[in-house]
Amino acid sequence: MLRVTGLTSQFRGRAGVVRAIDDVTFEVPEGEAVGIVGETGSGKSVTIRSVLGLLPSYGKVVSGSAEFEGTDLIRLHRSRLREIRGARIGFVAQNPFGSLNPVLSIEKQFRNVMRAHRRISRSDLRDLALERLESVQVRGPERVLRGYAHELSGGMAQRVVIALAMLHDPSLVIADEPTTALDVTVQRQILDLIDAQVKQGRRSLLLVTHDLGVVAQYCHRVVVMKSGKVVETGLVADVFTNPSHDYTRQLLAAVPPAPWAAVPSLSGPEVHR
Amino acid sequence: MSIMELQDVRQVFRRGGKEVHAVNGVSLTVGKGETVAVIGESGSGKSTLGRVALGLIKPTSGDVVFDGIALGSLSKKEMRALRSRIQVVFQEPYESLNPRIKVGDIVAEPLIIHRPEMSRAQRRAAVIAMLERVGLTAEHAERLPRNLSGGQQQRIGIARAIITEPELVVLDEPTSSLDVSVRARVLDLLRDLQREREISYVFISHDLATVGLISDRVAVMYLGKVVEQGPTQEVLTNPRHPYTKALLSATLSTVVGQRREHVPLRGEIPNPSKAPTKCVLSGRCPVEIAECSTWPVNLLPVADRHDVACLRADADREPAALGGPR
Repeated sequence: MLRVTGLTSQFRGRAGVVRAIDDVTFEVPEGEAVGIVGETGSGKSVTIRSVLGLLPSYGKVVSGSAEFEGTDLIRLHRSRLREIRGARIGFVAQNPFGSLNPVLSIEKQFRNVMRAHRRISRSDLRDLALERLESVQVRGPERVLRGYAHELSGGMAQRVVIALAMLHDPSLVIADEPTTALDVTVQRQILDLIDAQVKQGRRSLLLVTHDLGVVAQYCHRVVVMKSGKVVETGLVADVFTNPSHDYTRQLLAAVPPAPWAAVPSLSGPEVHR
Repeated sequence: MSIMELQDVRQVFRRGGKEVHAVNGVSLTVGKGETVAVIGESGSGKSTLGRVALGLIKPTSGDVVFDGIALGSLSKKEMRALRSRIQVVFQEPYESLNPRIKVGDIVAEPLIIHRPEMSRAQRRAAVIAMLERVGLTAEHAERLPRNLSGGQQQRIGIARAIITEPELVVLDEPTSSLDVSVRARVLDLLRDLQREREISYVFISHDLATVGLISDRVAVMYLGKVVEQGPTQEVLTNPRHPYTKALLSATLSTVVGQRREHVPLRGEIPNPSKAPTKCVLSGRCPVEIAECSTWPVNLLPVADRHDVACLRADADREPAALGGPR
């Protein structure tokens, strides 16, 4: 589905040229969820921004490739890349309010995203947008469609971003810390939503996170990054139970056990709906 | 012995004709050398409560009593003198440090204010000793905050807070912006300092896992109210309020396959624009009954020192009691 090979990117800054990621190689197999984990400065966000052609102006991919459905995204012309991004690859960023345009109504943003790739009548688009908002459990979709981003809570705004990212039925979804800006109880809802949308659409998922728990519970495979390099990759079940790299071991040891894990019975006293 | 008592604290902000009921009648006691965690999401009122405990804002009603002194009765001057005994560490270490001032001078500042009798040399010695105590060196004193890592910056924040030997420190999400590996070491430092100096902590956080590591007792806040409180281990392993259960179930384990049944809450935390007239979780709660929306629900004991504000606190224990208020 996506094969990243030897990807190396640099940033130009006051201190000269800095290598942000170095020889990054990993794969996202079809229908699987892959998590990239690492701490601040590990290069996990730079990696996906390099793949998507979204590096800032002072950043540049200097070598390597990112093959997606048979095309190398790195060597693609910007306009072709833009076509793939949005149509074949859905992107969900950390801050939903940064992804949504504050001065356009939500309906207008659906229209813009739709028209970038496909012609569709106004009323058909409206029906489709309503259906998609319902599928991401946005309450009162008519009202949301008429309204603006600032009227939404963080969780609702992120649901709208997810609906927009799925609009063209992408085969790959890339999410960059999609729940970090949200409240704890909402985080779990959004992760379950992304998980469901990916599974229903038989999509692949590349999820960037600093939260090892998210990877353990939502991903098949993991890519552990440190200082711009991949230190370990493999199946989550293997890497988390038997990490082969010291850094992975340290990282796992630093996370306190889930506070409820001390409960003898996992099912415990449950609340029923 | 308690060092601080919050008694029925209420805090109403007025903004452009609108009211925000940030804290709605919270009582909390912090013992000497004890760590009390205040847990909640954004909008729960936990940070406002922290600012009230610090004496930075005067509550709309209710009292804050520190070491037998009611903060409300103090003059500005008396309050300023008391500040050396109640200190704070903020979430964003870099933003809470003056970027133009050298680290040594940042840590020395509280001494200049609260210990004017100290000579320059004494102050310098105290600062170096404090930097070394928090795991830095004399060499760091000459640097600017931006030349330190996030973990080092937070150590500076801690050094600045405890150099006046306070009896109580309010820690407002002190490790939330740090990477996990750094977080563990900063928590270790806080614990060691507490043991050495018998400092009491009010630890404000949204992260139950962190709270489980550092606190003796925990108060779970939602929409300006404490909905559950008790000894940390008891609350985390035997939660009784649906909100606490939801928070806990949202914490993901790093053990593959170890998953807790998700306790879903509907929607998101509403705006606290009026004082509650019903249970604060009403409308989002998975086990709500009709009585929940008729009056505010107050804390009641369910076990030794474990209080819960829920009409359904026993719902999953005593099926016979379902359906009626107690």
